[in-house]
Amino acid sequence: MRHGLIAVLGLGMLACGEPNEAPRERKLDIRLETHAVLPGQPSAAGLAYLDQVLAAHREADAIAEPLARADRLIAALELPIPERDGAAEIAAIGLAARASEALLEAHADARVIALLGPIVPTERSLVIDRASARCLVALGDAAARSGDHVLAMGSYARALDMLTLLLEEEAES
Amino acid sequence: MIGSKIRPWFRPSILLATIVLASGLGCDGERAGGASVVPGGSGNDSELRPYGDPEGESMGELELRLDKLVEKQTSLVAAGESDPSKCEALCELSRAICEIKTKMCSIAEDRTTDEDYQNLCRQAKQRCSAASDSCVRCVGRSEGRSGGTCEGESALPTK
Repeated sequence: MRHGLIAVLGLGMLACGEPNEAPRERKLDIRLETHAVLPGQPSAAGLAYLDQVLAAHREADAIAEPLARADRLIAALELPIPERDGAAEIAAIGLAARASEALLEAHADARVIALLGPIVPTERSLVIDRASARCLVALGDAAARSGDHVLAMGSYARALDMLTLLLEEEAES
Repeated sequence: MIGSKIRPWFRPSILLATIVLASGLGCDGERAGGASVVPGGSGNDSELRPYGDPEGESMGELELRLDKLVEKQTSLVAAGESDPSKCEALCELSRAICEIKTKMCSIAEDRTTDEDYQNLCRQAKQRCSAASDSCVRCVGRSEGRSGGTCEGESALPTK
């Protein structure tokens, strides 16, 4: 009788197991921490930064070749971003978005992942803005083309959340 | 001698059946509780938080969810009515949301046994649908207000 009970319990536990499928090699990470930029006057350093970013965009407009265009924008990303300046923060993420889209255009997917990985990690709070969503979509696109479906799905899910926040924000404004 | 006539409830066969039943119920314990799916799949990813609100399966819970969605949609449509340029912004965001939905579901299609991926695809479809409806209604009402559409003609797609 005791052996019978053990056998029955064992079968019950087996039945509770996961379906017979290949396990995913990595965990999906869809965390999205965000913050909003409050309206206010930009600082003097912020204004100077915005001027430099604008100049970089103008120069990039004149470059037809996507890799060269991306390089110009990435060079602007090296500029120090003034702290506690929302406009500067949005400008910086806008640079990253455009640079990564240019890299995608050139099929430089590995460079997109290398560029955006440190800019939009799940551990970092992202500013609620279309540029953040564009970065997440670009990261998803690059990951999908590289065959990294875990990173792709995670990035798309985060982009979806960001866009939903923007939609709600738009409705409330 | 009276006691000998009482049939013991814990006869071995009944006990065995109870254990089998209990172990079977244990399998569905999490689902029955209405817990949301925690992405990760292997079941030991305790660092992650459940994605979105818990989604119940009972009629009451579904009705509550529907009410919330309708409420949210109404606020989105109302926002568009107050300022026509909002419609443009809403529709642009709606298009972006639906593009992402297509990408997510394309990945999920290749992994039909992965519940996390299927759930994310389903959620993306719901968001796309809600955002599209907001856009269509916003545009329809905006045009109706400016006299752009024929009277009685609905801007909504017929279902």
